[in-house]
Amino acid sequence: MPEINVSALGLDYAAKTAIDDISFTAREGEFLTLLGPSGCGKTTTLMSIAGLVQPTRGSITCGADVLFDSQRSIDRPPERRNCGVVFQSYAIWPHMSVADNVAYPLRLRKVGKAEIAKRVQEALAMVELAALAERYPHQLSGGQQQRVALARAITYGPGVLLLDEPLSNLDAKLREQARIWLKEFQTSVGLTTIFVTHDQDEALALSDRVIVMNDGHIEQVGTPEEIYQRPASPFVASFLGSANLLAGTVLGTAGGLTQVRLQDSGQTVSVGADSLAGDVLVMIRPEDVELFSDTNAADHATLQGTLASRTFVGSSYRYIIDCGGQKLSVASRERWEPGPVRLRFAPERARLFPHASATAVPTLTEELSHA
Amino acid sequence: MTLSTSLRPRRGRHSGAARTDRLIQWGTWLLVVVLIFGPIVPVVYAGFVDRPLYESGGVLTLDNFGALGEDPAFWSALRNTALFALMAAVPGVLIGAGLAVLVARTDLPMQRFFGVVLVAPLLFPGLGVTLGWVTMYSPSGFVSTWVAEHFGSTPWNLYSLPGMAIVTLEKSVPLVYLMVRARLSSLDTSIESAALTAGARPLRVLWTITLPMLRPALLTAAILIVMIAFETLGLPLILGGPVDIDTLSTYLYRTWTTDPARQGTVSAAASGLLLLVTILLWLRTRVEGDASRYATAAGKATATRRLHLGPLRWPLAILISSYVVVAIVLPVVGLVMTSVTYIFTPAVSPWDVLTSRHFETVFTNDSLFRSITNSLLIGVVGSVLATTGLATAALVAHRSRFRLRSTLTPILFYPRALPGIVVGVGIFWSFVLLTPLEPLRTTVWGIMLAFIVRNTAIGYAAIQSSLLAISTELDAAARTSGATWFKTCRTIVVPLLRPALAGSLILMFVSILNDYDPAVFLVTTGNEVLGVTMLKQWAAGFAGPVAALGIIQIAITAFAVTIGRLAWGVKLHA
Repeated sequence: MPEINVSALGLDYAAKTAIDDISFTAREGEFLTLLGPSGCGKTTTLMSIAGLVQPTRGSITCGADVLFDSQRSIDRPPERRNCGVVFQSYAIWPHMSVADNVAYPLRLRKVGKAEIAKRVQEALAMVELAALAERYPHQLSGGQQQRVALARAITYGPGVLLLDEPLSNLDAKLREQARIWLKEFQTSVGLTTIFVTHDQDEALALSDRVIVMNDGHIEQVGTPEEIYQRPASPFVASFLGSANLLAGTVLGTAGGLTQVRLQDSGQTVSVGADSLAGDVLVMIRPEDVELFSDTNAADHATLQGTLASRTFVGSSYRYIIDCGGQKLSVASRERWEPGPVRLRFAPERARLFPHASATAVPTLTEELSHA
Repeated sequence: MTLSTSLRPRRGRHSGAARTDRLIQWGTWLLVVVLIFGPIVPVVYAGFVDRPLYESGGVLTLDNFGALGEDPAFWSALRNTALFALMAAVPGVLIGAGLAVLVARTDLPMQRFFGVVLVAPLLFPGLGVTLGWVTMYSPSGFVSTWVAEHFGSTPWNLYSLPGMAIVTLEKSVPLVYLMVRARLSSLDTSIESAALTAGARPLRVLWTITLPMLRPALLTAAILIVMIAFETLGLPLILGGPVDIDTLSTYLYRTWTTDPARQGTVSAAASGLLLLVTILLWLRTRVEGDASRYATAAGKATATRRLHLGPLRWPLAILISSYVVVAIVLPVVGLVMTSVTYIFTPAVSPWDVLTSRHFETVFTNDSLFRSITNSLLIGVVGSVLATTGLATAALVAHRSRFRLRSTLTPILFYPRALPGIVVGVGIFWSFVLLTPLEPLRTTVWGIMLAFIVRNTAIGYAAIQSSLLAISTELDAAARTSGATWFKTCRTIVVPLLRPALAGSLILMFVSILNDYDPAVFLVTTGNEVLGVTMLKQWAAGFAGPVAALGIIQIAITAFAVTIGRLAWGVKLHA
């Protein structure tokens, strides 16, 4: 399986830059996810690789094949890129049976009749649909259609598998099963796969590596654990899971800890050592904050606040704590009553960002109060 | 594992195929541009040179426009046309919109019946319908004579500008009706319910809420009627001719046919007409654009709440029924009766003068019979060619990356602004001037070309609306599977487009069968077509055979539409 190399890829529309000169590599056999909110350019990037969208700048290669290179005026048409694509709507051709859908790419390649029958049978068996070969698309469920699309995309041994939100049209229960199935499927065929989604859970569960995109550029590339635990920006922090972002000023670093004085309340918190100075944002996830009663934990939980509201969400409670003007969301399995509380978090769980980078990110508490 | 052997698309064959794609795309674009703008060029050019096109050494000049400005006949024709347009547009919009609101939004009785009957005239051949009106309502017509006998005189005169405007209602009311209904269906009835709950009575709701929401649709409809009034030829020729009332199109027609020396002047007038109708089309497109922007959120289809008309229900139903009888049923009856009687008048019982003579004439007279077979021939061949071409053009316009693709749709819709008479003259000149095409001039194929050009918008609209409803991911999936653009179109998009193609086939067939304006300059012995033959026979005073031809035309149209509906479920004007 070849690797896909995207280099300085850019796409300008009349008034807007859809992709802002991004570069990344999908390694051999890797499951790489492009994750981001709608309009961030992830699908446009995927479709540029497939040849369905024409970028303005940059290059795309698949192994030794140059698929697109603006400087050398190379733009291979989609039919000569040998990509397997699964579209968001699945795009199963309604006037053909399941078998005909899967056989179509093989017929285009002038494969012999017997070979077509064999390959269609194998591909359908791989997606566990061998029994439904003669059905028509309207007789299939959403999950089955999605698997027909997959079978169709792999029968001819494409160089890369491109998946555009293939799970988003399934209902929640089915989506979880399909996610597990898709992961196993990808591992067994070993195809280099680029997967586009706006769903952080899917991205974390499926990917070898995740590329977080925002507004046409790449925010961070890393393994699911890296991007969740060590987000590179407030955007990544809030897009993957929930994150509190507290404004403060760095006081100094000593003994492996950086001290930050929080805005408004003036209280000091310790976070893992960081080279930042001046105005910063302290990022801490709600589940990493522990609550203590106001009276008996003054020594090890130095941060004070007022429990302002409580919401029951099933597996836990969500609290909003007012720390002298800054609001903090906290997840806890214990039930606490409104009033003064103390908080604590492990320094290594918190991250610091320069304050200026926060402008475009809605704060968690704002989101909660809107919900 | 199947994936161990990767099947690469073959390189050589594919780059050749990509070249084929480009060839088809350029070829389609060029064909469309040449066919639609080609005929206009000689007309416009002739208006700016100092001698007829067939003489060499022409010098560019504006004299023709000066001469036109000094011709009082031109100014009177222009004034007549403007008056005619106004008299046609105002009642056309009021009646059409009123009917649409009553049928779509109130508890009027017999709604389904009205819904079908009111749009039926759109399928009638325009010329046949006009003749039907004449047989009933002209001074010597059946109804007029009857009224004159019983009341001393007839309070109307069909051979006048108001008379022409009234006959135009036959076609304009159903057009307005359809446009307003379409607009109404995009408006949520809750806006009316809201006014009701605020305390407004039903008629007040219609007047203060529904009608204002319809304003853009009404304006577009009015512009459309004005366009029709400016370009229609047969109607003013038949009704204005006997009393010397000229509209622009009959002025052009008469001068062109009777005064060859003034070709330059007439071409100048034709360019002016073309410009005017183009501006109207542009205005209409703009208003339509605005209208879609102001559409209320088309939420889920909730059950339409109908306003209660109360005691007005039946009086209104009776009023509408009388309109249907007077404006739709009686003209057709008149046409039928004229075709099967020696003389159709209240003075003699029609049963005493029944005859099959007119139909016999049609089937035995070479020229008359040929006009039927010719019309059928160009209808069948033309609809197939046009549908193939328009489908290809729609695929290039909406499903390719062809550089000039976005120009195709406006170009194909532009013929709505091409007066038939201008297309006809343009094609005539193109054939005269381009020697290799000269043999086409006296054949039915030249006429077919003119009819196709004039009606492209009808077929194209049918294909385009369905094409836009087919997800582009379906073709993207075929492309990434390894199919070229053309292969994708052929194996994926066209099969899915089949119902729309059938619709376009039927619509183009009916349009070609019933069209005639562009052919008046192209017809000679041998290439007669229905409409022109009817026009000429009528002018020569043979009402019976003309009516028989009209009935045959209606019968063929009805047959084609029924076939379309039964075989492919084609819904016209749905």
